[in-house]
Amino acid sequence: MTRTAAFFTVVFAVLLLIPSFASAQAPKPDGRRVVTTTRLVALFSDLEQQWTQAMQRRDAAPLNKFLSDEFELWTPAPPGDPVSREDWLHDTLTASHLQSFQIQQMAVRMVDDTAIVSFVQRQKADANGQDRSGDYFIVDLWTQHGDTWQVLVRYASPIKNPPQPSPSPTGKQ
Amino acid sequence: MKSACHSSFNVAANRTFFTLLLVLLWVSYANAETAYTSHMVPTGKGWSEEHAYASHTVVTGNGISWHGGPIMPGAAHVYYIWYGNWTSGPKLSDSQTTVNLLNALFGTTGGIGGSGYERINTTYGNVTGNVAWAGATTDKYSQGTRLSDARVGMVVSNAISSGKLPKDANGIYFVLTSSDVSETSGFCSYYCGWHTSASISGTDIKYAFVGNPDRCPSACEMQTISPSNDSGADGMASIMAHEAEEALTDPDLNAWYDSTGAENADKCAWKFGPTTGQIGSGAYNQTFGSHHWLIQMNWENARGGGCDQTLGGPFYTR
Repeated sequence: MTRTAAFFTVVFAVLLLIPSFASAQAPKPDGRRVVTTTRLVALFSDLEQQWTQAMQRRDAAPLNKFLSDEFELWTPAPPGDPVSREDWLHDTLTASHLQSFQIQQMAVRMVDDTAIVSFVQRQKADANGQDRSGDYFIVDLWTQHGDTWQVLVRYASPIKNPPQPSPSPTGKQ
Repeated sequence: MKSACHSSFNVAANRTFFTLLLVLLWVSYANAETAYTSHMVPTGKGWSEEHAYASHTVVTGNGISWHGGPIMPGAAHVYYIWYGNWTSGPKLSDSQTTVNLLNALFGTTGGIGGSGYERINTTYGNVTGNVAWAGATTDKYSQGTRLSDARVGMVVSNAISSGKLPKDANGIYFVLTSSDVSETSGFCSYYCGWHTSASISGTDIKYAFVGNPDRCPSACEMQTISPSNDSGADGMASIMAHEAEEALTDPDLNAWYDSTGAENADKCAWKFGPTTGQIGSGAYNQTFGSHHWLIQMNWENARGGGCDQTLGGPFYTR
């Protein structure tokens, strides 16, 4: 066999082998899948919707119903103290204006009778004349009292550079 | 000297030319294969043809839309991969009893295939509602006890490449994990199951993950007292029905879903309609394979759209 023929034989053999090697590896979907969310995600999606809609309407009765007596709001804003139940209610009923919101990517983990609910909230809002629109990562701790769930504490942080929404099923929504 | 140099140059030029030609030929083949697996279905006759999506009737205005991708036409085949310990696992439901129950669910005699419930999917075009169990295999922790999405894919890929299951473009492969197996992308905290598709050995393979919900009953079971005395099997049955009907109508995640990205079964998740008995005490709303089941409703793409328990039946909101 001439050197040239040998060279092309090797190249051709390598090219033939590459697809075989690729097919033996893990399948490579584009990373998307569509999930069946848990029963708890369905439950707390509904509760969070109800609570946030009450904020939107500035409806004091359901807001009081959803808040535990010891409710606190924690955010990274200075001075680093929690917002008390009373202050949160006052701000929500008088100073905040929630125009629209969308809850995404919810996950729920139960620890005894406490539900740890995390999600991303995309909102258009303002408070005291300042724009509060954007995406926030929120963690709410809900506790159960009989058949009633109440929020004990909320942790909320703004998300910088949030991922763009996808119009098609992605799995994590 | 000049002729020797000229000769060497010709050899090098020829090598370069033919190398480039081979690379171009290989790239063309690879792209054709990719295009083939994305949109084409083999006929077994040496050529492929486009999936049925170009030919089925598209019905609109029922709360769910078609986005151009293929559905699974004809009779779909269900394959189970029992992953983990399904003979004597940590929970009572990690057992042959569960295996037998779920075999019966998609069984060819009285199973879910062809039922009024499954025929809700016929409102999505050339989906026949004929779906039946076609085979199973086991996998004793080949990917460990903490699966990622990629490892779930490997379980399916290995089952096919090893010949334990056939390579079937009209198949739905279920990876069913025992209660001691976790799925690290959110099983029990975010989801109870999921479905997707991927190119495996050159074929568009549809597969799903469903874990034993006895691992997290409050998240993935509607009731812990089930009509078959096997809460794990009952919980899995509803999730498997959900994934199967979405695999039929949106196998490649580009066919039927609504403006929020919800597929047909998503729109009725955790909604069961009227039941025999109270939920929490062994209630059921379907009977397949001689067993009673509590199975979520499915979205019918007709009559304005809604969740029902059987094709043409009344719609319910919970």
